[in-house]
Amino acid sequence: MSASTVTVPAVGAPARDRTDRTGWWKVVPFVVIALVAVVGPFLLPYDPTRVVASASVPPGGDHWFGTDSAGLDVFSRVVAATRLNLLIAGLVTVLATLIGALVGILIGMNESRRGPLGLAARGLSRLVDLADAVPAIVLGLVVISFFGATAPTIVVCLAVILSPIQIRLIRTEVLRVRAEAYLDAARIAGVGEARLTFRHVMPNSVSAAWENTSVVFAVSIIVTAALGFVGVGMPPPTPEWGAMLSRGAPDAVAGRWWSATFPAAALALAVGAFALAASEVLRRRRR
Amino acid sequence: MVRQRWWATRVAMLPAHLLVFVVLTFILVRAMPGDPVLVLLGQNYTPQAYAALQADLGLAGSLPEQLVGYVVNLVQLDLGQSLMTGREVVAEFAQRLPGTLELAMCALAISALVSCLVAYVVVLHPRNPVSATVRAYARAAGAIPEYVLAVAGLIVFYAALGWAPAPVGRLDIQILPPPRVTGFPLLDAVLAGNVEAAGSIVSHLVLPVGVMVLAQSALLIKLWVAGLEDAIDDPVTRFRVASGASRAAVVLSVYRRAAPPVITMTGTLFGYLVGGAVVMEGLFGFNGMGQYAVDAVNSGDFIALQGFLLVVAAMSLVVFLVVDIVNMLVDPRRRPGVRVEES
Amino acid sequence: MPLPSRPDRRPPSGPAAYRSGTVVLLGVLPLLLVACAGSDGSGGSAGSPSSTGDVLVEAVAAVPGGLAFDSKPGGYEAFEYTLLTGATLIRNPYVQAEDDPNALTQDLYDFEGVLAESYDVSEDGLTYTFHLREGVLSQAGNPFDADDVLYSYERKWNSTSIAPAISLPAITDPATQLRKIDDHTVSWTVAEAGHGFPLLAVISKISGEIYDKELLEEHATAADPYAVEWSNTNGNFGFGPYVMTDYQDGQQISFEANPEYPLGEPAIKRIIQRVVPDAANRAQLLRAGDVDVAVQLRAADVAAMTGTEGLQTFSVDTNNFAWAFMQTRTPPFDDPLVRQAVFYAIPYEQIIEQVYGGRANPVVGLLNPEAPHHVADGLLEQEYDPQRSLGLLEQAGVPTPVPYTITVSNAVPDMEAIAVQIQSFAGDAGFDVDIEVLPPAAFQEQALTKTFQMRLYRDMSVSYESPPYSLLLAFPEDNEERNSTSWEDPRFYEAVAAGVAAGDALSPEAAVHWNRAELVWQEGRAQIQMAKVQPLMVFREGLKGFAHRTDNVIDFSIVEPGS
Repeated sequence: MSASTVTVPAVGAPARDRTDRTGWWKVVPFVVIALVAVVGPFLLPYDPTRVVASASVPPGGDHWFGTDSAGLDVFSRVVAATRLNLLIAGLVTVLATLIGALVGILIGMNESRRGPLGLAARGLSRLVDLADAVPAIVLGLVVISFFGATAPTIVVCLAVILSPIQIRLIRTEVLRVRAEAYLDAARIAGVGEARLTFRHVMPNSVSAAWENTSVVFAVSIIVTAALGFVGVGMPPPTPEWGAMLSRGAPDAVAGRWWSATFPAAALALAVGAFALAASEVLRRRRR
Repeated sequence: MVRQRWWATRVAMLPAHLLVFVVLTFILVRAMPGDPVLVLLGQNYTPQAYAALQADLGLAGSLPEQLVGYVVNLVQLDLGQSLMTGREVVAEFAQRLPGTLELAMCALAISALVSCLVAYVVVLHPRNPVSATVRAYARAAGAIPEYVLAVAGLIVFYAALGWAPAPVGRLDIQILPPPRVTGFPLLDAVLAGNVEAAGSIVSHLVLPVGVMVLAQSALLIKLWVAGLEDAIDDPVTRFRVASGASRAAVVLSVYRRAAPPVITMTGTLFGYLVGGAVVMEGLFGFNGMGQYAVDAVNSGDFIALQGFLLVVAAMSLVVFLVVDIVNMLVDPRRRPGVRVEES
Repeated sequence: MPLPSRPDRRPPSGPAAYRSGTVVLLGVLPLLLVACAGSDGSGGSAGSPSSTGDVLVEAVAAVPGGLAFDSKPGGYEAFEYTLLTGATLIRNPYVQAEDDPNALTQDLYDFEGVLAESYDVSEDGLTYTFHLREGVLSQAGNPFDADDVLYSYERKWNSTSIAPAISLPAITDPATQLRKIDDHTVSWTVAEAGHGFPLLAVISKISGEIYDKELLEEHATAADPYAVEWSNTNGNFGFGPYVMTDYQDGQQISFEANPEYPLGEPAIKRIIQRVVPDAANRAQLLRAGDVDVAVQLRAADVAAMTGTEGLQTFSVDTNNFAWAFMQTRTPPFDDPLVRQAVFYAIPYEQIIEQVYGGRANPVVGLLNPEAPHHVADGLLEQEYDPQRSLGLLEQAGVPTPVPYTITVSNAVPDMEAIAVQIQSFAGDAGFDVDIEVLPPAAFQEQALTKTFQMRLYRDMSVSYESPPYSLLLAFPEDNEERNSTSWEDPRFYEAVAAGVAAGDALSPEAAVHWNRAELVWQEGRAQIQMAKVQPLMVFREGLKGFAHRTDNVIDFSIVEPGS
């Protein structure tokens, strides 16, 4: 098995004897952020994509988070970006996990076969290793320069780039599940291979990947933002935290801290809140 | 013998994998928009000039012909010449790669050490307030991306406080680089006994390495804590404690069993740092591999980009292999052949 | 350390408006002598590079893409490298800038000798004879003579150099136009007298650099007969004021003053160009006193640094244009009325104030308004007027809002900011704008394949003062590939030809035709000039001798360390 076959487990609460009710607050921050994503765009003080004031106005009464170097309202943009950022990260996570499930099962079920199918599965497995051998940010840079920086291309591209993490996890689990006795029992009972795979193997192998979604979610938000730094982020004036952050970073170095700080804080909050919520949800699932 | 076969096969297959990689990246990279011949010609474009320069750069001929030519050169360890600078790609890597590796290894070694120690405190003294803080930080691993930490660090420690040196790469401007022996800047300075240069390099590395350690150790701590807690709960540990093993021996055994996922992640981080730390390199003025890749994409220099992808992939595959071997030594159950870990 | 001072060759500075005829060598301003007297031994405290007297540290964005102009054309660093290590036959003298007491500028309508001592013009205005300076040595130690001049142009015309393209229409074939009279005399012949000024304008710029023939021939190979590739990686193949002493790829380049430089050894003895890729960091290094000069800064940072103690910014009028080009073959910009509407749909003042912090100037027309006898009749002032835009769109009979996409390169942040401004203000003017940001290579490819609708970029017209050069730069005749907008108008080319035929390109007779061409260009409106951006480089206080040049790089040979 190659590197990065890592199930990153949630750090569970040390006290294991607590009752179920104690942890509910852990999902609150994420619910609030999700709420902002849903209703936020209707509550904005300014149009987030239009020049509404002078450039680089510091935070104050008219502009709570100030304006950026183009004169766009930072508060409106940070709020408006929540939807797009969560959408991108959410879709990437789902898509990467789906790809992970399909490819992982395909590889796991076939790689020890003889013949062309086994060969193809092993080849696919090597391809996954190769894709993983190039840093995500560079791969993203190459692919997005090719297809253009739009939300759909970023989603598909990141999903493909991040899917190896999930593929590995699922494949490993498939290998484990495949050896279980109930599969042999099902086979003897005449259950077809396809049905076997989807009814028995799949439900029993995706748990590790499921637990890992918080990592994929975080990485996808962070890589989306990093793409802005290498010049292939979302085009202006799309409200997106990473693009705001990378365009605001030079201003921050020059002392105009607000246009980068607020999106950075939003980004960190979202990632942190999702990790917190995920750890709680997973803890309950494990019981 | 059979037990050792898997890694011998892996080593033997490495060139074959790389060849597949070369073919795939060749196609991908050539499909990128941005014709380097046009970039080079700029205002001077005429169809004649285009044809002449295309031939001059070795970009004439069909794609398969070019691919064959590329692979033939590759076998002789010739990665071609950068289309933009006209310099040998191999020579450009020789200048950039050691510095990037040095930075990555510094950051990684310190991260590994820090996470190891911190995890010990967190797991064995869970009620300590420091532990609670670290646990919360580790839980949100990666919530604050390293480029945010880097920008913040520069603002606070360079612009405001003036503690950190100017982000102009590894050396103060007036200090001449030590003679090139190994290519690794810090190592060369030490070998040359050049205290001034070594000091300057170290002072320039403190902030970026600190940022990387802060960003990465969270991930490693998270893995250590989870692994250590599982390992402590394991009957094996109870057996050892019951059988009167020394505390040190018990701790060592617990760490040994918790180590493999951490080692694997360390390998992944290494792959990321060699080429993936683009934003950091730009901010601190390091002339690294990641910056090279970005420049290559921006200028459509696909010879340079291809070379980069190949070198980084080759290194990553080697590191992955080393990680597997180390894991196997640490925990013999992980030896491939055991079904779950078979490769 | 005394300079090789040659007072006989350095007359006092002043409004030296010597037009054609004998070239007067202005050399470096007398300040240099003062500065030099103070520079020996002094230096202030150690540690800070900015206080070490005659060593200067410049924060640059990158190393040059290549060291030979003939191999790789562009980029700030490449131009600056050519200026540091190369020399031309003649150059424009530096004079005090009108709008900034701390800055010099080029007198674009006068010339002084560098490698040539003087030149004279034949009676018919067709032949320019250059008397070359004797006793000049190259950086490699080879003597300079007429063969170097001929060889240089032979190489420019037989390599991938952009020199032939930008030397049009004055120089079409150096093999017949450039002749060696004797070892120290060469002559240029032009087809019409009207090409005379454009000839001088072009050979006085960096594309007219003269190379060391002996050195290059030593390194020529069958595959590389003019040693272009060799010189591209090795440098130091000319007669310029500095010699490159150290090149660390991607990190740092060092230069030392060339004592053999014909205009005298420069006052700054050593220059270190340090690569700092991040523009904000370059600005910060200068603020912190870690470097003496920072270049290619973001306009917002330069604006913020203006008036800061310890720093000098320069507010001279420049030829660094923020341009918008429209592709005229496909909708919506195939209709000239729509293009004219766009002219009124761009918020110029907003761009100058918000994007450039007031550090940019409005532009009228395509030619330099400072040219002698310039005629500005009928040229429109920039104006954001949504009603007129809507009126023109109505006249064109297109449904509004008219959608179009602006493409910019991710390497030029101020163009992204301009695009956002245009987008915000285009709505009221009947347009619906999308913005696309591309890596530089893809951006450039779009221009050639004409797959863009509107593209923004900042660039200069190096021989800005030469009317035919400026007019034809973006709209070359019969060169569909280089004409990214595809806009062509026979009346335009007829007016340019008439201007050339009028004799002296700077005469009132020619000016009438230049104005005609400008009006046709204005009606066609494939190009909009949005602003002239003031210098994006900042000096530490005390450094003297900043000059705005039409190539927009710094001539360090005239910079002095100051106090």
